[in-house]
Amino acid sequence: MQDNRSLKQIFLDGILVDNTIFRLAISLCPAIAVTSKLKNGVYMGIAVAGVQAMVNLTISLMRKFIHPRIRIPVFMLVISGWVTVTVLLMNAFVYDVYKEVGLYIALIVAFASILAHAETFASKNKLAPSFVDGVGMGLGFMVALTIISFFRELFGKGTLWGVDVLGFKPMLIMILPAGGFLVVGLLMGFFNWIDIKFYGGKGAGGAG
Amino acid sequence: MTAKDILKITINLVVIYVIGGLLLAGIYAWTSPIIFKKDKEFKEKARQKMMPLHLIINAPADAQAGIKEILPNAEATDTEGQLSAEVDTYDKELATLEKKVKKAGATSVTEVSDYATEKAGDWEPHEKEAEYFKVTKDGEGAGYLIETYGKGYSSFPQLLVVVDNDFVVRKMNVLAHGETPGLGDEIEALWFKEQFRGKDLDHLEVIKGETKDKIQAITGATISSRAVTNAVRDAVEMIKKKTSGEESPEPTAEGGEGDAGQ
Repeated sequence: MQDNRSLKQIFLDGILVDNTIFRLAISLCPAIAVTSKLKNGVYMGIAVAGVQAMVNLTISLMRKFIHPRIRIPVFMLVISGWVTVTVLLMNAFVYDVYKEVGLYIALIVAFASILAHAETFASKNKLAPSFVDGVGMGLGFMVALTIISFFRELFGKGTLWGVDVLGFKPMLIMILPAGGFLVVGLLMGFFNWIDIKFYGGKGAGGAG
Repeated sequence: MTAKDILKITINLVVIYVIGGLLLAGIYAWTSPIIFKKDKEFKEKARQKMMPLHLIINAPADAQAGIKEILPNAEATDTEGQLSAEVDTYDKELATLEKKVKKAGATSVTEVSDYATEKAGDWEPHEKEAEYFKVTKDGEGAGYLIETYGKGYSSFPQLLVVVDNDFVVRKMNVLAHGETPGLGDEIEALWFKEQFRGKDLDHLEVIKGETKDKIQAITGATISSRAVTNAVRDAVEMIKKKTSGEESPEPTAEGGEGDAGQ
């Protein structure tokens, strides 16, 4: 089950071909809950990238030591541990940001994408590829959240990063949950279209 | 599952949980004093900003005209190259103002407050713990600052309210809330918060449609508007009752105006 791709390929696949939101369509729930503002989307993305990379690293370190029967509880412990560390560090050192997005950071514990990669990748691969995979998947998630929240804040509120750019609110529905599904769906379609148009659809469904 | 497996699983879990626990304990011990300090600073700062502030602006002579355009009430102080301006606004607007002033050529902007707050007691709006403070200026009572909560559409908005000695609201600010983005979160908007300035108990009432002497509801967010207004009214009623009790201990003191609010 070792992955034979080069490190660069693993990294790029995490962002593009295996993008958590647009290609694998997992962790959609947080992708909609936190993306009504660009700021929240970006900070959430950074936090997820950090947690994903550290979790992958830790799991890969322990992969030979963990008994297969208890791997899921151990993964959960590792994930929640790193999330708690992130929460504490953010609360202490980026206090203002934490005030805004703190509630959502704790939700990272339940992200399917992180558990999925601990299970399918980190527990079967060496340290370096696991770390690179975590960073790549995390950055892919961050890019996706950034794009989604960019459109939602722009169209729903007429602002970007809290700064008024349009001066009016074109489509209020965009910042409500329904608008979130709409944006994710449209973007997913757009990325599939690019894939089919320019890459012949080879990238689709890389890892289920 | 053999006995060996069971043993291995047990050891696995013990080792991992102990290491994890120790790591978390270490990070907690390291960060919690910092968090505690920042929480306190944040609350103190939020309280300070409820009262009018002086901005002490250091600026070279050629930039001062531009700064006076932004802050018409800016005056020169005794120190050369220094202006002082009184402002009474909200966090976000204050930050924008300071940015503008700096852009106009100011070298430094410092916020100075004439007001001090001193904790006067606790109360429990909607079963949440809240505090209230006595506000003093030059040692004399200038009013009260009350932390309060309202029952909103999807959260309990946390507010700070300042009333003067006649129980007229001077300022209201939203500290935290979880109302619907795009609808209920308009309670943070400047126009909504400004409506509370100068309102007394009789005028703290939500009206659907245009109003100048009462509180105008936010379109599509009547529940959130009402929650905030009721929270402010609760706070004013509470402080009125508490202080009238303190100043004149006779039971008759609560008659008259006090009952009218019920």
